[in-house]
Parts: sequence; structure tokens; C-alpha cells
Amino acid sequence: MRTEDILFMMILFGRGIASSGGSATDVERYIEEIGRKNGFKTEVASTPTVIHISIVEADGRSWSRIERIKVERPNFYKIMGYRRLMKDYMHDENSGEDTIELLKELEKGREHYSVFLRSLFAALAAFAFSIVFGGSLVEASLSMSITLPVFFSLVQLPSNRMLIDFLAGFTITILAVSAGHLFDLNSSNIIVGSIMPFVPGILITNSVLELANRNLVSGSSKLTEALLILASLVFGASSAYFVVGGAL
Amino acid sequence: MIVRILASFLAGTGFAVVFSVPARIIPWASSIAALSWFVYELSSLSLGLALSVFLSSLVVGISARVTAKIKNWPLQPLIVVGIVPLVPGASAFYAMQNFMFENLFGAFEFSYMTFFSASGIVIGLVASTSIYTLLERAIWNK
Repeated sequence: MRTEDILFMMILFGRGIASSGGSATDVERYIEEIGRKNGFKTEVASTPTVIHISIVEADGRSWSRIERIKVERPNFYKIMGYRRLMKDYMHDENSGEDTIELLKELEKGREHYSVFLRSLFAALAAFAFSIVFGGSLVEASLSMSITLPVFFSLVQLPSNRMLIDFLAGFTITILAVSAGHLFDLNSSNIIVGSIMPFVPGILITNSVLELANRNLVSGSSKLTEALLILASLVFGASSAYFVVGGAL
Repeated sequence: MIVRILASFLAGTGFAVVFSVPARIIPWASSIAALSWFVYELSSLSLGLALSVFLSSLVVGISARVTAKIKNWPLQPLIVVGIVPLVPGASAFYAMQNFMFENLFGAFEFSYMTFFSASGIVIGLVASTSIYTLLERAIWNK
């Protein structure tokens, strides 16, 4: 295989894992393993938005590439696909050329679950979180009913994450406070359940985990992103409090 | 307590589908989520927040690794779904909300809870790696 093809394969693996929500540590490990298999000295730095790969051949010639990453939501189905392809490539069950074709197919692949099914299960998670945080069965059911249409409509918006989270916080709070007022319930128990599918809790934990692994750039940028998402949610919720506070 | 453990199983299932975890892994990952909440509830009776979260994420780490080894599955979905009930999403939201309303004491309290929960999860997961390696050497590689 030509060196530029190997570099392309590294990019496909790195881009795929990073955009499916994999950690920077995993991206770097996969790329280094491909380099080792092909006898190259590989240097790689992965952040949530950019992967920088540099490989040095035995005769001293070096190749370098920078790839911008568009981070999507976590998709473990795809991450498992990349893991399987990596395993097959490392055990020589697939050639390099076949692996590149399979990687391209995997990258273009459809969603594993439909938007409606994901929304339904996000609503189920909202119901469960409302119960875990001390909500009653009625409050949890309201939380579920609010999350389903909000999640379903917002995940399909072709907008940036900050605006989506602002709208989520705003809509959920308006609906939850109105429902709480109408049925004389504690609206906080409804809000906390409904808001959970939008809260970047996993991102916060992953960022601390990456900081602990000395992936300082990736860890701190993920933490910043998580804080901005949280701020958008809370700005949305606070604006809604002012709107319904005046109306009710 | 049983209702909350069942609820954490459902929360795990919900997030597993949102994160596109393959269907065959979901029941196991959700069971680990329920186990993590069970350990958290038991340990929080006598221990503080950080220690309870540490213990439960330690249990998540070890049980996820054992499941991944037996079933030959990747570790990441099992761990991510397993820690879902422990993730400090609600406290992070309340912290930011208190900052917004200039209730700084409340904001500090919830920020403290968020930071110590996130740190407890991370330290627990890191410790589980070492403990599991020792267990593996002692049991499987004898």
C-alpha cells in the first residue's frame, strides 16, 4: 500500500471515531497501531475538532495531514463498526484497500435507530430520571410527554447545538411550568427529568476522564463545550421562567 | 429504593438507544446502570457523596470489564450507559441555574456536587482498571 493511502486510512479511522463520540485517546491509539503495523513512526494529536497526523518513513521522509472534525452525537453502533474493521485489518483478515472501502461505507451508513425511536427512548429516560430525582408518577409521565415531541422536533433541526439547547431549555420550561400550574404539581420535578436527555453529563465526565489521561487540549475543550451547552439550556430555561412568570 | 433502581435501569435503556448502542448490549448495559444506582444508594447511607459515587463507578468499571471479557464486547458502551445514573447532569444544570439567578451559595453547592461526582466517577473508573488487571491475573491467567 502507498504511504498516502495508509495516511488516508488513518484519517478515515480517526475522523469516524471522533465524529461518533469516541475519545481522543482511542483515536490516537488506533492511528498509532496502524502506523506500527506498517513500520512507520507515527505522531498524532487529536482534539475534538482537529486531528493532526505525522508519519515518518524508514528513509526519513515524512508525511503530514490535518483533518477538521465535525462532531456529531455519540453513536456506539458506528464505534463498534470501526473497532471490528480495525481488528480485521490488524489480523490481516481485510487488506488495506478493502478496509478503506469498508470505512467509506461505514462513514456513509444510515442511523441505527430511527429518530422517532430515539425520541421515544429519550422520553423514557426523562420519565426514569424524574422518578430517580423524587418525582411522582404523574410528574414523571408529564416529563415523558414533554420530552417526546421536544426531542423529536429539535434533533431534526439543522442548526447549531447551542441554539438547539437554548430552545430545549425554553420549550421544556414553558411546558413544565404550565403543566405544573394547571395540575398543581412541582414543576421542578418535571423539568429535571425532561432536561436530562439534553444535559451534556457524559461530555462532562469524558472531559474529566481525558484530563486525567493528560489529554489536556481535548479535555479542556470538551469541558468548555459542555459548559456552553449547559449555559444555553439554562439561558433557555431562565428566559422561559420570565415569560411564564409574567403570564401565570 | 427498588423503584429508583428500576428507574435507573430504564434511564440506562433510554440513553443506550439515544447513543445507538446495539440492541444485544442494551439489557446488560442497563443492568450495570441499575447496579451502579443500587451501590450508590447503599453506600450513601453511611458515606459522603464523592465516596459513594467513587464506589459505584468502581463497581461499574469492574462489572463492565467482566461483561466485556465474557461476551467479547467493547467496553465503552457498557461503561457509558452504566454511569448514566451517576452522571451529575442535574446538579450541573442547577449550578448553572443558580449562577444565573445570582444565588451564589446555591451555585457553589451544586458546583461542588458536580465537580465531586464527576471526579468520583473518573477516579472510580481509573481505579477499576488497576483492580480488574489484578483480578484478571489472579483468576483467568492462573
